[in-house]
Amino acid sequence: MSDTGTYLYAVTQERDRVDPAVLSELTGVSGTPVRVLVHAGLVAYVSTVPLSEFGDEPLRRSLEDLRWVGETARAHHRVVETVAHDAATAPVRLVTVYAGDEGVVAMLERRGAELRALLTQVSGRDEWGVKAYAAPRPAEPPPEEPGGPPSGPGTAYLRRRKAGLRSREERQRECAEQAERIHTALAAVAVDSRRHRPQDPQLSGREDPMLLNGAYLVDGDRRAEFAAVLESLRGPGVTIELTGPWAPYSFTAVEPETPAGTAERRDGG
Amino acid sequence: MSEPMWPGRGTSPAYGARPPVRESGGNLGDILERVLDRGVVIVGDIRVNLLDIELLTIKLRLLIASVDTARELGIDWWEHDPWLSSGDRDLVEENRRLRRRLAAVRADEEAELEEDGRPALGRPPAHRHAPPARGRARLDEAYDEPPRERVRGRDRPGETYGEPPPRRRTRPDETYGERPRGRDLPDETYGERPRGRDLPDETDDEPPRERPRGRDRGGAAYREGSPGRVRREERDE
Repeated sequence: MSDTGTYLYAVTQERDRVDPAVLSELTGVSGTPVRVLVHAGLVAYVSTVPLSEFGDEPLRRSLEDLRWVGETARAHHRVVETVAHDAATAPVRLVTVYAGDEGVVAMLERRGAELRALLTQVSGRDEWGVKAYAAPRPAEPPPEEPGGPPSGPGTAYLRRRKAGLRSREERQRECAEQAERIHTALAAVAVDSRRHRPQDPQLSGREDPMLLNGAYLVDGDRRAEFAAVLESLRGPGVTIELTGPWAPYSFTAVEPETPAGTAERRDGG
Repeated sequence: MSEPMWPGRGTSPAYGARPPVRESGGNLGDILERVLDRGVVIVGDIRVNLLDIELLTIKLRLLIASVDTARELGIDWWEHDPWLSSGDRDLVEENRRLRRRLAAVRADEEAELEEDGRPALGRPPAHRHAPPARGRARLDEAYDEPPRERVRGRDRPGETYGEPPPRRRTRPDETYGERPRGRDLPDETYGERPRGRDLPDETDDEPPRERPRGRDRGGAAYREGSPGRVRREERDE
């Protein structure tokens, strides 16, 4: 058995193949060069990677190492973005590794039709990420102590807490409505849209709660319109953040295949 | 093409030749979210269990802003988190084991006391009387702050609840305690947390219903800030 594997980043149509000069300057995961495999009118962007780092067991360990994950994710993303710069691209999920090139070629053969359909769908379009945050509000004053029957401090505490929860619930309802409004407006100028789970503050890096974590597939010639709608949605009470253009990560979902043999491998982990 | 022309990883050579349009989008958190969660899922020969990936994603969700940004802000708690810095799993395991034992000890103890017909917690702090509660006092973090003076302590729940003993984790506890209930992400995410760190589940298995006034239980509940516990306490009122 060979001690290297083939790491797959992305797939495009053969006609969109990246300029070899650009490719030769590109560094993939773990510092590897990036090359192409062409088959059935499609191009797969791949690297040869050592199985000592990308084999079953090493990966299991590596994926627990945030530094490794971060670097690998950035490298993966860098390749995808370069490829997607001016080509309809199907980005592949992180750490998709084959025993060799033949495996990738076989996959292109097997799933060619599906991939081509998908590439057609995203052609000439970009993914834009929109995150909306509730703008911070001044802390609400503690609710007045009701003048009811005398009660211990424990009761008072619980009462305060209850009141706090109620106003938070109200606030949340407002936020949900706001998110819905923003999403609807943006989705109207997009070809397709997705709402992802709002990121945890730890991930978003912001304290304000995220109302909306949306992805919008926008036609190249409607980009300005999309931007205009976005601008119109900005206002007090909400902070909107735009990222992109991204390769269409959110719009390339295909049914994951489950070839025979997968099941017991999963359980074996 | 076969030899790497750019040994340095940080140089990002591709963007020398092109306007770095796409580089502008997204911090590491955004990138991770996309490369781990989205994109075409094709089963390669080396199969990283999808479940592994999901676990990873959950951890990452909890974790990183951009790692760089976080570091700049001086947030680096994940580096000391036993669950995340792999290799320290034993600690988590040990923790869990201890908590289970604690729960068992407590249950036994209370059963005994009830048979005696004596209120277990409504009396002055156990150490004034004698032996039984030692294990409890040592193990339960709620006792980090020793019972103040006699019974009065329980008349000041605000104090006990208001300043929880410092916790092992350095992240702000408010994210647990004050978390709005309806939000979907945290609940889901936290539901998946490594059990070892989920103190409420472990310690609170036996319901303290019969003795709503016990300050130690109340203290534990509020310190953990588990919404479930709060609800229970409210009912008790």
